[in-house]
Amino acid sequence: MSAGQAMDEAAAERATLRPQAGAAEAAEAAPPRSQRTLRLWLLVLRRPTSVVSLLIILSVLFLAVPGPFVVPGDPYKTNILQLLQPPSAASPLGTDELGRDLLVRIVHGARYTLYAGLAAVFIGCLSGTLFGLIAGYFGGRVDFAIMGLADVLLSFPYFLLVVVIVAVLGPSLTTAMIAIGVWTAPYYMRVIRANTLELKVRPFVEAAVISGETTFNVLFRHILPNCMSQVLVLSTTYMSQAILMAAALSFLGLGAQPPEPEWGAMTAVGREYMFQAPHLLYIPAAFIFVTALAFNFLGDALRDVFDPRSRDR
Amino acid sequence: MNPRLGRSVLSRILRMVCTLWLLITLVFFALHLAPGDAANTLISAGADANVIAALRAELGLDQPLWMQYVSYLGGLLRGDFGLSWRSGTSVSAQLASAFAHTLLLACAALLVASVLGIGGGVLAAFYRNGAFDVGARILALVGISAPIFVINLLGIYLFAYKYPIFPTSGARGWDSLVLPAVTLGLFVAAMMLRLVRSATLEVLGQDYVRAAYSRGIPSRSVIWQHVVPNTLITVITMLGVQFGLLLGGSVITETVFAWPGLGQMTIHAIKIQDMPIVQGAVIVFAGSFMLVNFFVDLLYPTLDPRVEASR
Repeated sequence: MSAGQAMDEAAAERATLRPQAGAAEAAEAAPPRSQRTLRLWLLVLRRPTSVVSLLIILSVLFLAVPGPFVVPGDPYKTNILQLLQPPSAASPLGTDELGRDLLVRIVHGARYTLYAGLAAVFIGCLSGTLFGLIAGYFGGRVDFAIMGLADVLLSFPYFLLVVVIVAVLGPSLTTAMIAIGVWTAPYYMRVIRANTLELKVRPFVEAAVISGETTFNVLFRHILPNCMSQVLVLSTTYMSQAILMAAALSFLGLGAQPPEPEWGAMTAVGREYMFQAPHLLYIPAAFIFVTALAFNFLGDALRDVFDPRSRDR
Repeated sequence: MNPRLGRSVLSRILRMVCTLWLLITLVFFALHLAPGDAANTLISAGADANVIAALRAELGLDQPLWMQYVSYLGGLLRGDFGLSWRSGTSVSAQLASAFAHTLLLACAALLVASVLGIGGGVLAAFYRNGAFDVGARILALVGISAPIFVINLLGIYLFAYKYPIFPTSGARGWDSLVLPAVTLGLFVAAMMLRLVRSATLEVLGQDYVRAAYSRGIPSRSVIWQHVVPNTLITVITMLGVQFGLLLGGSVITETVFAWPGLGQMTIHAIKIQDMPIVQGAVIVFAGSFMLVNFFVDLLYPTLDPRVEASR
């Protein structure tokens, strides 16, 4: 595997491309940002694993958006003559305990999974980035209050904060998404805050402040764009976490509720029939696993290329 | 222990207590603002208004929220977590028994995770890009992408059904601990392996390691005297986070294996809306997580004197 090699190349690329603070001539020689980003993306795509991951993600996207029209059928339609059938020509993925077609349910379930992942990451990313920027830029009491809140959120062990929020708001997929979003927010806060602290004393930000730009512009036109690579890397990694957590919540009965064709809820049903009809368990489980794996591989590749310093975090 | 260290320990204890208090407050008000209370099921069962009022009075739910909060905090100081809304029994007693089970599971799983994660991570780093490294890294990525309940169920399918060596669930005897501990440990081992590998690689790339090698010191001594102790520092700092991962993972693992621990208790209590139990379990979970992190923080300067010097 060329992972290590690609990382070294990425480091070399960055060294030549990224202007160092205070080195004016290097800054002049650097190509425009868009071109630089494009070349880093090409480095990501040079890895076979990231290409495969992107293909998997695109397939899940395909299942979710046009899928239900390509594979017609009602995910809720029961058939008592076809209970717990293993995969066959008539139903390629078999049928479940109520005779519903598993393929149709899986295709409809892709929407739930993707929707849960995207919504959770969106909530966490938006609030975490915003609060991180504010805490880092304004410092003082604002920083103290925001980071104090982040500390409290981080003092819940993994997954437990999500469970508590679900306990308060009541079990549903929407609740699960909000909960997972709140869980990721403090991680964004910490990274973006640290980045903002570093960036706000850099000459280009100071120049923007001195030239009378509004605070809004300084934050969102000058500091935020320079945090985007970290946001991208975090979001890809948390996408897989969000998908896994949403599935786990549904599995525990705290997320999507049956008969909704959500993959995690389907594995919960599959568990009850795991000895008679194991396909009910391993098929939805495999879909969750492959989707999460794709986002993890892509996240790793993006991290190596866009943000090599944060590898250990 | 020098006075500066004493002061920093004191300030950290203070900080921990503050965070814990904020957490308790947050959880208390969040759970009490959630709609419905103990009387809900009685109301839906069509019980008499007097019965409902009596129950609410018994559980202290007829008092204003802030008074309930103060008396709850007061109870906590005495180790009293209140009464269960469903059974009316003491939450503390249930918490104690469940906590013992969770602690046992967490320690066993941590052992599995440490052996596999640390051993695998160090070996992978030594044979960087070799067959072992590539294999271990792929396995680790697979491990962090597989939902933990799937690892649990796979364990049950293979070693309780296909080859019935261990019981499928419950907590009777040491053999019922094996499957939950190993499957939970595998999940954490995957995360650990990735972190240990990169920590070891970083140490291996340091000048002092290269200098030791070039002075002709045998590689065994370099590894044991330079590489391992320095990697250990990072590993110890990570243990806190890994413990949190274990506690969270135990919520799912316990439910799958019907292991009578805090996690299973929490999920069950949420489903029957028994808020005092949820509240107590969450406080114990978070409190033990904080305590572990606190001790890790304490240990850190002892292992790495540079940290103390730079403070």
